[in-house]
Amino acid sequence: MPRILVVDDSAVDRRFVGGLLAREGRYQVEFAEDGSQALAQMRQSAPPDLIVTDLQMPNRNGLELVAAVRMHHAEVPVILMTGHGSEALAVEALQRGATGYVPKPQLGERLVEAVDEALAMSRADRTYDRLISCLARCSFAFEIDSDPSLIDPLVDLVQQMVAGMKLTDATGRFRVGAALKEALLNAVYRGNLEISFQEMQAARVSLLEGKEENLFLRRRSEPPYSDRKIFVDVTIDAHEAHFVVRDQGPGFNPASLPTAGQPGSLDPQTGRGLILMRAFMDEISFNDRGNVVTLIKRREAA
Amino acid sequence: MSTSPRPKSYVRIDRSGNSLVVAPLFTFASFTEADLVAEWKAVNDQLEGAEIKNVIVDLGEIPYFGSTVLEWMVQMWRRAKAKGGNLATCNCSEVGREILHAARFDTLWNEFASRDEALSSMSANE
Repeated sequence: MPRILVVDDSAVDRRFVGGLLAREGRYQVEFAEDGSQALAQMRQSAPPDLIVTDLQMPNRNGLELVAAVRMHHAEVPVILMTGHGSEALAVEALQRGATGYVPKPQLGERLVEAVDEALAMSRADRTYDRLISCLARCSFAFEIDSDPSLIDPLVDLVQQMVAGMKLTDATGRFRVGAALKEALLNAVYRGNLEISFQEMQAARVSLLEGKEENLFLRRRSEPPYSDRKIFVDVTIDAHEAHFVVRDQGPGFNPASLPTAGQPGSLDPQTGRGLILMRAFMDEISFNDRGNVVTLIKRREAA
Repeated sequence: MSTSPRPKSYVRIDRSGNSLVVAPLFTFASFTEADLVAEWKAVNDQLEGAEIKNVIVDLGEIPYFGSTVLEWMVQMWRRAKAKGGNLATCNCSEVGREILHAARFDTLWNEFASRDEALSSMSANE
């Protein structure tokens, strides 16, 4: 029987929603009073099959709950209950990964239908997950602009694949994601856009002071920076994931970077991104020019 | 605890006594520099408030983070120190703790299991 967690700070609304679901006789209904309590319950026991949550609550509201569930329990669908005047927040929640929403005045007519649809979609996703777990080898290549907004989707895809193919567990996929993200950020900013750490700091201060100059946008729109691409090759099999990230910048001297085991420092010039890459990958190496980094993550012991 | 809700934000900011609680909601890779700067300005404005001394970074909303968030934490820590306060982290995920350890930042500030523990510790050290 699917477990449904109803999150609402109003005891009256919790009883009403719980009653709507319980009378179907097909769900096991649980309750939490706000987003924080919901997350605490999910830490203590297995996550539910679906969450139905109010949008406006003290502590963590529905929007923040959606964000946290998306991060920690991405497989759990979330349906929002929205009151009058919260449509804009509902749209933002959908952008953050909520499955759908039902206006509170229409709960009686639409909630059960929305729950059943979301559970059916979730079951289909799990079937897809089973299929991915049977994948023996995959290889894909991206050629992307120097656009930071493409980094998270690419990293998300890789995280899904390494976890789906059982190369890492759910936590291990975040280690891979953290390291790969640093490699991609480095390729965009230091590599293709040639923005040094000092220039980045100065540009942020400039933006903070409301000045019009935006180094990041300017570099992304003017040659030669705007013509450059980032090439990402990914190969994953049962034993390891192999990533090659190549930018078209002038490169740098890899020997100038701190070696493994050197302590981190408050001085960002020591390359915190590199420290994270080394911490979470089994191997990393640069080509002589310094514009290609190869990262290898081996299968984690069960 | 008072909250500063903003219509669309990537960071949640709460105030409790003389502590500012900053909770990143995303890992920041995908946002433009203008987005980041807007967030930093919102935090900065609150940090400059005369009564704020301490910063607590609540990492409970994000499974991991990278060099951008680390750099941000350093900046907030420096500002807090300059005002005679301190910085602490809380609700850190397993990978988040590994990141702080890899950067050796776990030697610079304390990490607490919950926001309440962090706030209590900050109060006790007044």
